[in-house]
Amino acid sequence: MVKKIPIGPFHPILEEPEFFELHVDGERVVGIDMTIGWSHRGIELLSEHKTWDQVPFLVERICGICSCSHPFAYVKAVEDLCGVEPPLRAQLIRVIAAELERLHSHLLWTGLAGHFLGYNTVFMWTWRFREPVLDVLEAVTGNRNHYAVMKPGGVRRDIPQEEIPNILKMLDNVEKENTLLTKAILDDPVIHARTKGVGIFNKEQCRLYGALGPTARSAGYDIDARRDHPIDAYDKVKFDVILCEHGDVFDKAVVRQLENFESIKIIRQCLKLLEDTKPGDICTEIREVPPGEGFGMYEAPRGEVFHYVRSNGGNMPLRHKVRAPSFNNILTNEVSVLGNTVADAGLITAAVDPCYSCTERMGVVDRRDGSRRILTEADLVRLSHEKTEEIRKRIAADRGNG
Amino acid sequence: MEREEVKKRIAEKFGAKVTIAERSPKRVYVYAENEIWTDLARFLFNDLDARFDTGAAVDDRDGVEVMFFFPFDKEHYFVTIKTFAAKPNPTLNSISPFIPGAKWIEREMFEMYEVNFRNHPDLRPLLRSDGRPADYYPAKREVKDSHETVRERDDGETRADETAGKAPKGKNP
Amino acid sequence: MSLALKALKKSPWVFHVNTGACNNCDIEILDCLTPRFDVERFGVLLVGSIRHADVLLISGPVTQNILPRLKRLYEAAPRPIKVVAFGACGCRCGIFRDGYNVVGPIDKYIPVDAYIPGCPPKPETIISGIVKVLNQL
Repeated sequence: MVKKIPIGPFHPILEEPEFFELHVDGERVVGIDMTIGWSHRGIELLSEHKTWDQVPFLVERICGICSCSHPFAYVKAVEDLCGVEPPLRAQLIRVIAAELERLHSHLLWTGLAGHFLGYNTVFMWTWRFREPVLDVLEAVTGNRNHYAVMKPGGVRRDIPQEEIPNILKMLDNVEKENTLLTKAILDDPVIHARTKGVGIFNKEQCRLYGALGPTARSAGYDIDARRDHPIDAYDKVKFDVILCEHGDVFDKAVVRQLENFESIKIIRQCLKLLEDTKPGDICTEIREVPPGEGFGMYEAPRGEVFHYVRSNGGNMPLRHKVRAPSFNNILTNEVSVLGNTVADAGLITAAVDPCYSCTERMGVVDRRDGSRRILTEADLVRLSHEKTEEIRKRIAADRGNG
Repeated sequence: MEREEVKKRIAEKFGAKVTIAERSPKRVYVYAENEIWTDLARFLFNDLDARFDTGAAVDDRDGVEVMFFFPFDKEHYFVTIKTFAAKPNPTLNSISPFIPGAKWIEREMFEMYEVNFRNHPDLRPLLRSDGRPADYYPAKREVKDSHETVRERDDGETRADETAGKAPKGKNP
Repeated sequence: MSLALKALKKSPWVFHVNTGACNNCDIEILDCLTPRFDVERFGVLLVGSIRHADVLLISGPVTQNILPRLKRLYEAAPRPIKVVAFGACGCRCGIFRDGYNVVGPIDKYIPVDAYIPGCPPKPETIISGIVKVLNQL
């Protein structure tokens, strides 16, 4: 007998509201129906009424965590349209800001994943490690979250020379802390038991569903917009693309953890390259945007962000299309949730790091008599915690026997 | 697959039904007629092994221009396929039966521009709220102008600057 | 002061709603709970259900889709409930003011007791806002 569990649209922990309807047979999930649009604000239409220079401030408010990636993709689209390249120093500053963002975003996800599993210690620790990254971002760009660093043709603020030692010091600390965290995740038997083999999404499905970012790379689907379509300074730095093969939740976490080290590597190289450039040379002026179209993409923490702009030669975009990575990635839940238990469903839907937030209330509707049982979101988290607790006990018992 | 090779193979297969243009070494455009549109997408995705990225629609006076982006990641360039769905009632064949990743973007185009995708497995609006009428297509030219409401200040006066700053209506090409 | 109110002041439980914000406000709220800022030392706790909440923290402009849910949520809240509009969008819709799907700021639909401005508000601002709300009680 198939029951439907609505989850949504509010959720106390994560971001945008989203509505899932899980179709369950006993404990197993046999289908899912997703409704989005709760925080649809009509940004694409709004940006048709903003000038080219105003749009970056609008697009960085699409998502608070990707608030460097969206403007990055947008300014690349405008530069593609105009055929200009920013000066080297501006390119490096863009890359530094974007990689700092990736660092804090991945740490944020690890913390939230820990919370979902019932490891609030992980949550507290990672978010504490994340604070110095935000401090550096504040020092470099002037704000903790909405950085406002991008501008068509360059960047808005230079990085002062005296900040660089602070950034390097922070990187050293974060590298140490990230090593500790990675080891902790790789060693923990409970995390293994909870996440391995859960929510599998294989390589062929990734291709069909257009999965992006860590979701795709965890399944061995080798895409990374930073390497494949190098923009700005990314062809001047060396980094590895992290790949795993199983595509389960564990691999997604591992990919994110290891990508942090790559980000640190990229920032260090950029800071080194920054020494040879002239301070203050941070913008190529764009006098006029010609009629035509252009698109730009950037590998955000969650996957490839895609912006398309069409101009009629005026001072505002005629059309501005935004494709956030979660748009493709959330669709993958359609496959990856199937066959798993309800207790795992929350974890799987969270594992693609969606800009999503589901609910605190779920009602179980019995199709046969239409009766309704209301569960709270707390129950969903509790289910997840109980499962972790069970596994923990079982592992402890096994150790006792062994 | 290299750019020239891809262009050659598309030209061989579809002949006069497509027009191939190149804006820069990283941007290849293929304009297709409506009837071979899905065949072109399938050819790119299945035979030439491109990745499906996303789609976009641009509303024009006589129709809706629909495009899909197919990046070739190893060779660092994009192939954009475009077609033009004429008004009234723009209708196209859907590509989601063989590319499930296109499901949502086609739903979004349907919702915003009223492009009907034939053979789509589940063509419902993606973002529309329950409170809106079923035939409300917010991004269509005719509807878009009605969004520009004159706002009132907190003291009750109309804000002149908010209406004066808008783009002139009907001047877009 | 009744006993219940006195207890409430010692430990206000917060329920957080996103009505279409860019989730930066939400992240900053969570940030407040973590070791650097740690509002839990004032007894502030984020809860998973509106039925347990003393403070309703709302971030974001209200979108057309979310409006009926927001009203229902407010009706379901136990009294007394303090409503806090969070962030520039929560206070005056911010940059999304002209969006076609945005129906207006929160105080147009439900009574608001406190506003915390900023895009996003810094954690220090949030703490100061919480203290002000507690003093209102």
